[in-house]
Amino acid sequence: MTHSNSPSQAQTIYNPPFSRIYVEREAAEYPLAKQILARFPGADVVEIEHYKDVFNRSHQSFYHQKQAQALILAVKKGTLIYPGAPVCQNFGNRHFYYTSNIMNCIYDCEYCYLQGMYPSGNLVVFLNQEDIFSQAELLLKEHPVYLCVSYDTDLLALEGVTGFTRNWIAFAESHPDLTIEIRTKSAGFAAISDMTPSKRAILAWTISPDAAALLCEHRAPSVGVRLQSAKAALDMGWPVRLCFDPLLMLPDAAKLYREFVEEVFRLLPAERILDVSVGPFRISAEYLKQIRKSRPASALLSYPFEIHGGVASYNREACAALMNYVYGLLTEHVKPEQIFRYEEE
Amino acid sequence: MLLFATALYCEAAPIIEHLHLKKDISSRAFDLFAGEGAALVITGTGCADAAAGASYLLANHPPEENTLFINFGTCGCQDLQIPPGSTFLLNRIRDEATGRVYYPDLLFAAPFHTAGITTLSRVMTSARNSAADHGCSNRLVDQESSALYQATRHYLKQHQILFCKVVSDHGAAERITPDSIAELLKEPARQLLSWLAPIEAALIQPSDPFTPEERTALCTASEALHLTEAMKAEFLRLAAYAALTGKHVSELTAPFLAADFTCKNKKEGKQYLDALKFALSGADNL
Ligand code: SF4
Repeated sequence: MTHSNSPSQAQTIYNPPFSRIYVEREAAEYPLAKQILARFPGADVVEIEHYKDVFNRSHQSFYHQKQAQALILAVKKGTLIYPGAPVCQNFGNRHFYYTSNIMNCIYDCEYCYLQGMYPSGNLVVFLNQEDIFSQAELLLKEHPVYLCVSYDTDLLALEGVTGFTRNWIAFAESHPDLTIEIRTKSAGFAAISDMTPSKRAILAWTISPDAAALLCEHRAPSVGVRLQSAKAALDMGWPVRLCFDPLLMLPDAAKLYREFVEEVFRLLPAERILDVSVGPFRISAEYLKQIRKSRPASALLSYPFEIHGGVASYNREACAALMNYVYGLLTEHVKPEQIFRYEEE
Repeated sequence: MLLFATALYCEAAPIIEHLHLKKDISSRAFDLFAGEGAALVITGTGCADAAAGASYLLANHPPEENTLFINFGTCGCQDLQIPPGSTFLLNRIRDEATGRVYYPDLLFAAPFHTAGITTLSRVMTSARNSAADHGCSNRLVDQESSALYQATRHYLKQHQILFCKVVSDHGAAERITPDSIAELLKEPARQLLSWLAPIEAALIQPSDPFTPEERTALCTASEALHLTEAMKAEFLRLAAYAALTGKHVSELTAPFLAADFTCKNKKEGKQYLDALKFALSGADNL
């Protein structure tokens, strides 16, 4: 019996990631496009008119494309900043927004909602970050803004390719009413460690017990190195958020999370942590249906989820018990007012 | 399964020979060849015949997860620097008639270079009046690719559709005969087939988490519980999840397979299923 459908040795038949780069005609003019292409000199470069000509094709296999992820360089038009979704936490911020400089992620978590949301496993990089800055400035004229900039992707994991994180931090520093959250599973703090810590750029690490990460967070760095990255950031004075989200209903969950929380706070000084978020695995029921089709052997996704208001999550009592249990563990280290719990609407 | 489409018999010949394909004499509409794990259709030249032929092949050999469709054959080339025999996988197909451009997925590491092609509705007569005249950077030209792409994407996922093209001429008065084409394609066909074999084998994702014995036990238990197809699917998912929690499938099925187990109807079966769901939900674990 297989427990997960992690990419296997079959991977060797695939092209390496980013060995195919599709470039919109307009995007090709951006200096960043030239920089990125220079970084992948052996890539097969294909000129395209619009990123949707590749990204939105019918009958794509998210799963197989993820094994040989292509890069699509594009310029995004229209609305670039969106109001935050209800399944996401706003951390007490009234004006909560998100933006996607990049669509898709280099990691391959079994539970990732992007598998249900996007028609393609390829990665789109929108080069016109300046246009997002302009839209952020318009919002800032109206009110303070709390903006998640690593949404529908892992921005820091791609910092070596795009440099977007560093640009965001610099932008936040020059706009006093802006706070940004950079959420990541990467161990890539080194890519921005030369910057002066910014109080308005929250570095948020998503962490799970090793057993969970090994089971279903394929290609993501081990939790140990994520924590080391978080520690390096904390030591330099960056605001660091820890996201115990999604909590996963695994065998021996109580023991697993107890040991994990202890390990986390053995390594990280709790008094220096900005805050902590905790939330159970939850996903749109529609996305879950699609993901189960593309990962038929995933034991994690075989759980008998309950659907409430179109959102699939664990059995309510089980979920509440797990949430309360982990919350209790966290209160042994951080103050309750520092803990943000995901509450069902 | 490997499914090939070629425009001409001489393009098919090296594949037929390598794979020991036999002519399907029952096939009326198109010449169809089949053998173990492979089939091939000769479509004839031009878009309409290519699309019809490919659809015919796919209707006769319904694709599965590990099916690969390959258009194999010759093409013209407008770049005189590229010699005959050069072999390419297509990454861009432009339909000259409509101006539409298609992008085949190339996920698999290949021993071939890639190139774009323009599908013309008439034969290229010289390197000069081909794709370049239509404002397109594609170096290759043919008469079928765009139609084959459009027809096959209704049956297959993008990564299952491949185009392998061998340059035969530059549109000048090069002497091309069926024999010279068959000869030209021999080596590319050999390379193509040895490249495809491991891909086909690896394309099957682990979709069945159970051993054959476990699956039989689960099916028998589903019958004992009078489960509908949808309930059975749920039962199998529960069994897959149970394994994650350290339970063996046999532990799960044993009560329902016991000689004295009785379940009168699907309503009762559903009650058992709900109890199982609750037991596995973790509600009483914490
Ligand atoms: S790190 Fe986040 S965005 Fe990336 S695959 Fe995992 S869940 Fe998805």
